Amino acid sequence: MTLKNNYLLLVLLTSLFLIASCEDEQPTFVEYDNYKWTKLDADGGDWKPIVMTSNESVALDAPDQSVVASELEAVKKSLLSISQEQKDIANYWTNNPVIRWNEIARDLAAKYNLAPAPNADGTYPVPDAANPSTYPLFPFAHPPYSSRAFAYLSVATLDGLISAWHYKYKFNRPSIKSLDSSIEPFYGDNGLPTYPSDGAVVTATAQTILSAMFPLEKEFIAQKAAEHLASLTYTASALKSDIDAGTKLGTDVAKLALARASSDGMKKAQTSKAVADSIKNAAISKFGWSYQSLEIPERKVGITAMFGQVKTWAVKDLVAIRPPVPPALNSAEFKKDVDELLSIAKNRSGEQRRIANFWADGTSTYTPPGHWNRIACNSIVGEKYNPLRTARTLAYMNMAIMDAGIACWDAKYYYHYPRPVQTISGFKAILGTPNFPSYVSGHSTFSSAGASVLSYIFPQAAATFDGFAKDASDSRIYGGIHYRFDCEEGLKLGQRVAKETIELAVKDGAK
Amino acid sequence: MRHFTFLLLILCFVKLSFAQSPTDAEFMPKNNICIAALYGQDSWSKYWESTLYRENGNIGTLTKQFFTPMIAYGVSEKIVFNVGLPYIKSSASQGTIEGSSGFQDLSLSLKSKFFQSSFSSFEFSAIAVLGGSMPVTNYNDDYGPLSIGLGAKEANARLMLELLHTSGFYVRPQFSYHLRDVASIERSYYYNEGGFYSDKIDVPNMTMTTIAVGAKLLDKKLRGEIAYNIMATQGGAEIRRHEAPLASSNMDAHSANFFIQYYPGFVNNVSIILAGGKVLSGQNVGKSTFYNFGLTYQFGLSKTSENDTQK
Repeated sequence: MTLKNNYLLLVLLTSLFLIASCEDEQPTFVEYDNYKWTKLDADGGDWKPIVMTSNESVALDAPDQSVVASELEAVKKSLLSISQEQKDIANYWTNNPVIRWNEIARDLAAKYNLAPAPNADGTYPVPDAANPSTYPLFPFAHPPYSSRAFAYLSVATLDGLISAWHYKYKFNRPSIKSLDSSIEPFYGDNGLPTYPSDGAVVTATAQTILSAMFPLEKEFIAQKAAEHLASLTYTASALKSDIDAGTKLGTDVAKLALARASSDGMKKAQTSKAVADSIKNAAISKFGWSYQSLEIPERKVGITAMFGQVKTWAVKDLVAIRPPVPPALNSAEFKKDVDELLSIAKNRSGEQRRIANFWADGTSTYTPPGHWNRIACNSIVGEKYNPLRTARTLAYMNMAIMDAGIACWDAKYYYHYPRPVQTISGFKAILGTPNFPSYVSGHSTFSSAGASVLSYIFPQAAATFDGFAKDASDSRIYGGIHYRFDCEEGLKLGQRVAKETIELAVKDGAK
Repeated sequence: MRHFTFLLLILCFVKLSFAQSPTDAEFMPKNNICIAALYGQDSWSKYWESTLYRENGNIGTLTKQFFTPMIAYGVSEKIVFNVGLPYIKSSASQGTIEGSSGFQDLSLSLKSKFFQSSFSSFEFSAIAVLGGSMPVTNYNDDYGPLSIGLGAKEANARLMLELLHTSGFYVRPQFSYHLRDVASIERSYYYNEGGFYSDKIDVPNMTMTTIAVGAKLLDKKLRGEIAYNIMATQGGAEIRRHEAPLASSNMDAHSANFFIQYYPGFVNNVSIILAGGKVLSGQNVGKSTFYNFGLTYQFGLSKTSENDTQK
């Protein structure tokens, strides 16, 4: 008896400590190993840039060869004395830092993706770019904002690397290993001419763009940038003059991208209540319906009602690709999709709930554009792309995703269609209903645009990407916040947007 | 908006309100079984977002109802084994988010009186409890205040000291430590003072400190007590402004509660329980008011103990 009791106690005690010892820290970044690039794309300097007019839009002096000997010595010395901490840092960044900067951008989007809380009088404050640290902090990184941040980051990185590749082969300063065969670079010898440093270009463009998009994070971003730039020396990736030239080139190219950003119309995207009301009234007079926020207190100004006016990257005519008029609120088509929502709400399967949650990408997350960046990065690492080809993939995908957002928002505020919680009396959802009109679904549009570009780049995985886009689209129906016609038309719109983006990609000179 | 804490609190109190439960100093004869059915309700309309005390129009009043069947078994005069499984239903009075319901976590515990001593008119007991719980259904633990549980396995250890006067009055300080495993969520990224690329969330460990005073009167047919409780997680993130909390949020609460159990006598071996309380202050928790009531029925498995079921 006593023995048995002691045994029971022992079992409980043991399980207690087993649980305690199981508590691992959760990963704060996606693990992947440094890899050898499948190819160098030596012709990359001739690819067509996006914001630069030529690969020499930013001038770069020829390297000073007189510093090579001393700089090489410095590299050699720091490689020989590399510490474990430095190795950990180098293994984090790898020789494709484009992936890490994309991940950092995702984390920043997640951190700033918080809707403002109401004021005491029931109104809502708006973030102010001129006073970013006054609550609500600037920015509110909702999906339109984040799609734009990812787009400028990726475009600037692509242009920076096109220019870097051009100068690398123009000046043809040999790789460190070729200069001194006794040096074994940490990441191996990729054979790429070192001047200017591609790693420094990537970091300088990312630092410049992200500091502008997330101004309160300047210090954090600078610290990450310094960490990476320092690693280029002790990994024997670049000489000091390579890094300095890369930093200057990357910074100046990023400024060209920011010049476009400053006049792309985003400043006006978040409207006053008066403008929001006039947009709403236009829809009421045209269609007889309008979207209204059911949040308490009511959010009387929707998220970025004029994002549809922001300058696109590839789409030439938004009206030409605008989705058709959605079903009237008393139509059989409308009733059919409402019935589907009611039936799901009544009997939602575990799998439907899982899909709704997996693709929700709501507040405090990196948004659907961020989710697609993660998917893209996984494929890029899988195919062992070099930084230039990585940047190209992310640039075309993110241009398509931002254009998808613009086209989607154009439709959302043109049609101003009410949400399910608004049209179906007493209806409740398992996801929060976002503060913008229903038609068409943002998730669907972003996702099919992203999937289409990725399918162009990685045709062998097209079925997987299409499946993801379909799930992301359906997730909004399963969550109870979109009608099926919102989602189906959103998927189609995203494809129309991506078609125009891919037309540019086809002609950019990359093979 | 999500809010887990009050759930946690209510579970502690549901357990409190059952004689021979892991949180009281009561025992029963060897081979006796006590079955209990408890109904409880917890609600709040204001909560602490970090330290900011606020309302949320998209929640209104948040209510959770609990139905908890429990069974206790007297392994010996000094050891009780306890098992319980609550069914929980949540709802918000405002907003557009649907409530949720289902069976939550199966809990098991073993309570042992390992030391007992009498001096003048006092009796002193030291009691240890080891317990654990685990989710038994696939409820959505990433569903804010409407979630019915944390979704994490737990192991806990509790020490109780009871000083009982011959008059029936007693004082009982107790302390418990709750080790908590990760919660699984249905997404692969979350932000919690930094991005996490995982579908697992670390749920912070928790301590619960209670001081209870009460009395066992009328030949132990009536037991009543009041208690003050301090719950504190070990670490965890603050909820940011207007943010939805996660299972990993830092959650602290001070609460007070009462408990009454009475064996009316006209039905043999049946007791009635009534309990309730309030959260008085806290951080990242709801300012809950809660109550529960229930019935217990105790019986012996062997002839020898059948006549002595109300110990």
